[in-house]
Amino acid sequence: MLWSNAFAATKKSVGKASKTPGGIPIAEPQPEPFSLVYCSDPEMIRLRLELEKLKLLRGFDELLCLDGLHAVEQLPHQIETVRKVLRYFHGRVLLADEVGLGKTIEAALLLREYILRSMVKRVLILVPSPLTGQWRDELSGKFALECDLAASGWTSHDWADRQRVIASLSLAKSRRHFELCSAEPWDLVIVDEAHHCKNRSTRNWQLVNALKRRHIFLLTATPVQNNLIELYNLLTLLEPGHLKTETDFKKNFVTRGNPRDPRNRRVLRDLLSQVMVRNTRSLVNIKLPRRYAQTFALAPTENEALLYRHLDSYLRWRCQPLHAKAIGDNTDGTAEDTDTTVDESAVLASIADGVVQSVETSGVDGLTHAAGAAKWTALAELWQHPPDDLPTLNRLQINAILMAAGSHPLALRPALERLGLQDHRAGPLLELARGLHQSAKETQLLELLGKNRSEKTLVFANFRATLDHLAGLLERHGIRFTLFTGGQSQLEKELAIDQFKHDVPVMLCSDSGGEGFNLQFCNTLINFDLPWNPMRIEQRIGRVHRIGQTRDVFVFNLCTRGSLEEKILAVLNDKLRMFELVVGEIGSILGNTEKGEDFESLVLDLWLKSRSADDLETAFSNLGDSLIEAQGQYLKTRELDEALFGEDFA
Amino acid sequence: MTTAIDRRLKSFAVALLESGGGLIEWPEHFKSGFAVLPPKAAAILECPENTEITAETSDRGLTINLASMFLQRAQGLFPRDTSAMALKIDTLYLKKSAMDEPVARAFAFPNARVKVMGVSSERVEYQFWHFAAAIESDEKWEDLVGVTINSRTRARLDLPDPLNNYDAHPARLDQATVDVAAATAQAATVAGEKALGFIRRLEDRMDRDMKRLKSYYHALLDDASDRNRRTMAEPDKTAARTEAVELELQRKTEELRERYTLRPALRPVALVRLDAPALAVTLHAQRREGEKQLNVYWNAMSKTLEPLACGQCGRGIFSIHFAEDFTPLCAACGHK
Repeated sequence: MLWSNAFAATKKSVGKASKTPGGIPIAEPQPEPFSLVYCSDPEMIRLRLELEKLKLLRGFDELLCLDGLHAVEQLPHQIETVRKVLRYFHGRVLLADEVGLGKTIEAALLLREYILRSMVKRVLILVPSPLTGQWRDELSGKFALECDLAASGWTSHDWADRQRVIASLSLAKSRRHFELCSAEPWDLVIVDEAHHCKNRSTRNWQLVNALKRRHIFLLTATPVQNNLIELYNLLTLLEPGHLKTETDFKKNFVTRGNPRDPRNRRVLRDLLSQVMVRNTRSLVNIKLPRRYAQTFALAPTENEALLYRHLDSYLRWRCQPLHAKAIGDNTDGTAEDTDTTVDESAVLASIADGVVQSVETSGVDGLTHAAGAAKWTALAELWQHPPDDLPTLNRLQINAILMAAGSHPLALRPALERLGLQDHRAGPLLELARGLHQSAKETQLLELLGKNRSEKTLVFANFRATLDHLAGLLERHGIRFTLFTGGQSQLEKELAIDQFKHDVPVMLCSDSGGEGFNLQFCNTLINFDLPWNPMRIEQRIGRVHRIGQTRDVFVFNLCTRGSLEEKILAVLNDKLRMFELVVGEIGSILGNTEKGEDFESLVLDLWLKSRSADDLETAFSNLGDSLIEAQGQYLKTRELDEALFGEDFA
Repeated sequence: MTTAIDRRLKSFAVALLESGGGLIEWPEHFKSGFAVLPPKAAAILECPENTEITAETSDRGLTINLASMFLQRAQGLFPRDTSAMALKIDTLYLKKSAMDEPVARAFAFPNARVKVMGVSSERVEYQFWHFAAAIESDEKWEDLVGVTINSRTRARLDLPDPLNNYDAHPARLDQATVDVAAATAQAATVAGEKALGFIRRLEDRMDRDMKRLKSYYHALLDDASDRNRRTMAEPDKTAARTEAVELELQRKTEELRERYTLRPALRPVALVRLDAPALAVTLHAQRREGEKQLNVYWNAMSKTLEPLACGQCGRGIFSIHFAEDFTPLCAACGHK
């Protein structure tokens, strides 16, 4: 009779809420429409009952979330974590795995499991802004979980109507949305990079604390960054009072005078183990071989250099308002950038100077003879004036064009054709690009492939035009290869991998290809072009540098001298030694810098803000310095976390 | 997964797919076989029409194990509504001897004088209900609950599965006798008893969490008042701080209650209706100035007298306390 009253409510309309003797409220059951479907075969009834009985046999040992995943490599420690959280943590946990061990996958598996078991319907996922798209794509593509991205224009209805929402922390905590999303009841809240909520006085912490939720997962590899109170604050979000009050916590667990040094470690670890899972590399026995990287910054051909210089000038001319905005938005406090007044004529003059200079210094072929030179001079004249008659190119367009330029002149062509339709002044650029069929990088690529004939080699390129061109190049040189792109069907992909494994030495691969496939039989990778986002570079390397790889991995980066890619590589490789870091660490380091999580956007900002090559050089040098600082901070944090947590939480 | 469960799943899958028109070739002791499925079934199960069928997790074909989506998807092969079947048993042996003594042995009537008036052969519909019961809270509890009731008395009985009764044959029965509310109430009682351990565990946990929460916020209040004393804070500020902590405690307490709130649900999965002969024993009950005739039933399948249902809690009763209007009540309800 404990709660049969609640069921009886389907018969009688019981108004007042009932409770168990122990005081747990009982919600009134929702009456469901009832109708019978008659059958004449008793077997159908038996089968239906058997189905219900079989469904009940699925305890938490049988995870439902693993079936129907796409391209997700499930590691044993992740599966174990999912089971543990389901069984012992009742959906409130701090997932604090070391970098690169797949916290996001664990959280997504848990989310899927809860949804499949109908234990969760309304979900809010809070992530740093640059990661919203990635979360949505991964949940949709790999876990078959569709989510809505919260937008700044959302009303209370939008918040109320959506079942699964991904929102950036900055949007959710904004004045407009704080109340709206905290007014909604959520079955599960997931907070990625939860160390952003380490401080109780911030709106981040206050938002998460204010959210009405039944379950909550906090994800961070570095729960303690500066002092132990940060950990206390995070755990207070999970279970208020689990570590008692801050005063009690300090008294019991923090060494007086050193807020980073824990005392009563055994007791603290016991308490932490009730709310936290932390897998470490040594614990889960993940030992990856070393990886080595070499960058080839190749001198461009004359015409290539000419094209890049003019393209740079033209784009700067076309995006002057963005340039002004980038400078206006600047908050990094460097002397030149704090001057927010833009001398437009100076900018124009510097662009025109660049063009003239390039005409004077350019070489000997067709486009640099007298007529060609006259053309560029005329253009330089034109570029003295702002492009009043043309729409400003937006950041996305600029980004795409610059990246295409970094890939190959052939990848740049379609963008230039579009620009040419809009503006006849872009015509010469297109003409120049059409005359270029080979870039400096091809020769190096062929050389690398020639030296390495016995090894399987993956060649990555961002653009389809580049891949097609490389396919032709390899064909002409008699190098057997297979092509793998995101647009292929599953069967085509499987065939390509199979061919690569057994028959051909080279696989040309797009960024979207290869995820989820085992390519550990290959240990050499060539980045023919370079994504600006280091996480995407990591994803490329991750195709071969993963569990199961037994040999050292070699990464070759090709870039054109003087290009943005060269500067990015200088920062990531020369300064941060990114290619020698553990998978995932680069993300943590970038996360320690302002706007670092959106590195791609940061690079574009630097380009937009700079007025000359020297400017750009200085800006990248400053970026490198701040990243080194961030790396230092990350290393300190990692040491602190290792000292505090050891390997006791898995 | 144990081998026994493996075998059970396999035989379920084969029977289910074959009943829907599929052709299955899955020899015993083989981990996998082959299936040719009708297009609709293949679409529901999200697999090709000609497919490998296997007990081991695989990207290809139809995986049949507890961790696969098979059971979830197989739900789509059944109608969304409650599956029902109507059966009839034409004849059964009915007790012929006098019923006075069996009634006196089986029933007690503490507040009325009751005597047997006579017996007659009647047809009674017995309803065998199967409910999927679930309670969602901080955890989830699920079970399959079966209840059998006499459609006349609404009393819950314990009778053998009619699907295994060779004398029962398909029939057409009057729809009016189906009372899902009565069955739900009975199922709720059974489910409540089955879930008792689960609920007790949740009660203990909620109690612990509630104590922790209160002690935390009370400690915060103590901290705050100590600080206020030390810093000689203004009374307004002190009061505001105290109020804020109390509000937060209230909010967190509500959140905790919400987290543990039991959300029970009963979904009727299947109903087997059985029309069978029974012996109706007419009783004459007299209490104070009032009197009433009522029937109890001798069940020809269990060969016993059936209980009556308490008019308030629905429990099956042999010790019958009559209410003023002669509604039969159990001892507990009768003394309220």
